Amino acid sequence: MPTEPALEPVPPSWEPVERQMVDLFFDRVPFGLAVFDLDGRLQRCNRTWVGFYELYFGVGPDYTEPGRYLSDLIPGNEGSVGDLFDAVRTGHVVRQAAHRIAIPGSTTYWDVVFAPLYEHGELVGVLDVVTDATDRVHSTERLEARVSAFTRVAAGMTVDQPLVATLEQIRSEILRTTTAAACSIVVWQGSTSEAPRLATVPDPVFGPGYAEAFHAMYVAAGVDARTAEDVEPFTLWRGARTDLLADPRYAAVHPYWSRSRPEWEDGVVIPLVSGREYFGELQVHLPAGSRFGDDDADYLLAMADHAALAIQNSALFLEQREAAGAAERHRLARELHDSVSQALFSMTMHARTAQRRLEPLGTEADPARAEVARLQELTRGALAEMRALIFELRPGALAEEGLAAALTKQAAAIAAREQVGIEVVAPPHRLPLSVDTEEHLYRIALEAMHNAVKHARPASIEVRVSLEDTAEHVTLRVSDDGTGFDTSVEHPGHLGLGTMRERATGLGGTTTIDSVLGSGTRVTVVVPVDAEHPLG
Amino acid sequence: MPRPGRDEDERVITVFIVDDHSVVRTGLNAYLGTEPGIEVVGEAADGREALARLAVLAAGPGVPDVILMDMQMPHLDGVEATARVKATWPQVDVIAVTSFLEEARIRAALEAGATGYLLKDADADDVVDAIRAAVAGEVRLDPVAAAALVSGLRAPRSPVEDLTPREREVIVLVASGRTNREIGRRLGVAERTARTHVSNILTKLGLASRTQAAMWAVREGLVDATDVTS
Repeated sequence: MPTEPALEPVPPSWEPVERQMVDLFFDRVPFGLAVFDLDGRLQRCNRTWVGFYELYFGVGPDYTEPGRYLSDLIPGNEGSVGDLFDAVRTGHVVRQAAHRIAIPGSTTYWDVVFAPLYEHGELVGVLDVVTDATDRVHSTERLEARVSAFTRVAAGMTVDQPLVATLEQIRSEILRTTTAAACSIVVWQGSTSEAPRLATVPDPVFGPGYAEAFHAMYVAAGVDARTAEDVEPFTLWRGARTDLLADPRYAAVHPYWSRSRPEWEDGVVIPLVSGREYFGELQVHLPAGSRFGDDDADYLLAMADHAALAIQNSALFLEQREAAGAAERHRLARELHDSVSQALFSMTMHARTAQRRLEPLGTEADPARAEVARLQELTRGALAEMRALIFELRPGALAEEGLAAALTKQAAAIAAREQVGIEVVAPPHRLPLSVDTEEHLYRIALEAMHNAVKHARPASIEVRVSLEDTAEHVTLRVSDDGTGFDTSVEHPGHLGLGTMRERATGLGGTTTIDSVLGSGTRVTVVVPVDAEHPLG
Repeated sequence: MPRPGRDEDERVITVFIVDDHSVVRTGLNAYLGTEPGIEVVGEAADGREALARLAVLAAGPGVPDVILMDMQMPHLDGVEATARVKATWPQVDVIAVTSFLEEARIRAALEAGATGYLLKDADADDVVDAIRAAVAGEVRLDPVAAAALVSGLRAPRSPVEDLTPREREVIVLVASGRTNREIGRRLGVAERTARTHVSNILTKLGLASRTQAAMWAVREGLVDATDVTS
């Protein structure tokens, strides 16, 4: 990086030119020069050499006064420097690249040349020529660390590692290999998968409670609908902290970002994108005025690419696993159908045949008749169970056949199993509901029916699905004539009611549970119809 | 809809069973064997075998009145087998027997010319009812199923105007589940005449069965779906 030229006056001199040259050379070259006697006592040094001590050790010019021993100047490094000195004493020039000097609070690297000085053929001292290699070594180290960080992240992605674990690894590698004070990742969409799936990997350095606040903030914000083209691929945001603390959209995390630790002021924001899709963000918090070069930008962009790839992989993996699960369920449904349900159908025929054969016989066949009747009833129940089971196993069955058909099948199975009359009343046409809403209503109704037969011992249950006159709401009502319960009392362990309420709330609907001890329970769920599913 | 009395059918109804599950054939055979007025005259394990055996029957004692036809079968499935049976022996009534896993095939079977359908979780008595209804020329469709089926029905070759007023009267009665005998009685004509009207309607509309005619009538708005008897 070019800087302003530094000017320094040089007074007129009467010395011989050669002497002037030596003095100028000694004092003004950009490498440090020092002369020691054979015992390692400093005889003379130039300004650059003094400057190095000032820069790295934070000491004044008096630290490097002539007469001090080298071993005192760099305490703790006698061994390695002593070896170099010994080589010089035997009449050698010693070159050592990136010689490490570690004193408490500072580790530096130096390209060192030690050369013998002779006087009248006698070895009298050592010339020390040093140049600062600290930056070079640090950037090489950083580069190596970053390369190995890439390798580790890539290796992590090849194993079956959960997405959040991969993102957490990327986050901590960034912290380890940059000057970042904090780093967080947020993903609001699983790339190719359609369902938005929010995943946040916030930096724990912001303290307890931050993770929840950070997550809640993005839950409230919803999916960022912009595409990859709409967002800046890289933003270095000087003064980000001040700006963000003034932005009410980030109010949830203001208490954490306003703390004095970690120290940060600037930020880097990199969108996680793939193709046209924009599904997340890498956020890096930097200390105020951090040096941030092109190499740092490239590194973070590459890490962001890794994160985007991990997110895509994870989405594809999930999709594939779901598809495999669906295929497996379908196979199971098909096999059950091919074996058990065909046999059950045949059994109903045989049971009826047996009944017919018993008809001409007298009363002595009554016990056999009773047995056959029971057999018929059991077979009918088993068929209903099988039908309901196959329905549950078949992916997309509910979407295909609709809520009414689904409820009728399940009701038949429960009715046969529990010896209770269940009537399902629903409009003949499909209701204006999304598949998702139908699924939730179906689960609510199942839960209500199960609750009724489990706790209320009813003689009959009615499941009624109806479209309100205004066609804006659909009502599901499950009523039974069982024992009822006191709705004002908590029923620990009965999570079903809570789950029903949650489902209804999730659909923007309401749940009402009316129950009178001794005369039954009525669960009423009202949900809005889905706008994109018009009547018909 | 009252069950047709036994006295209406002095003649024995002959039935042929096609199903790839031998356990199903055995069960149906045993049960139908106890039903007076019904005789099982053969069975086959797939559509191809069924066509071969039917050809043998046609050359000898004659084709059966009713075929209970499973839908999902190897070699030749029920839909295709139904279409071929109706093409060769249009007088045969085919009842599509579908499991609850393949209700979507009902429409395909009806389009292929099946008179009616039976789900494999039906009670034994429903099987006999379906056979007798098919022979009596009764169209029996579940109202909900009818509405769904009608919406997907293939377009017929001719519009409503091609039917004579009398034929329109007949098709409405067919759609409301009347037998030829009942239609004849209602219109004051012989049963044979009613049957002729029905077959003329099928020819004009390019349809293969009374069931298709009923669904056509529903779709053309001649009758309401809920008027179709079940």
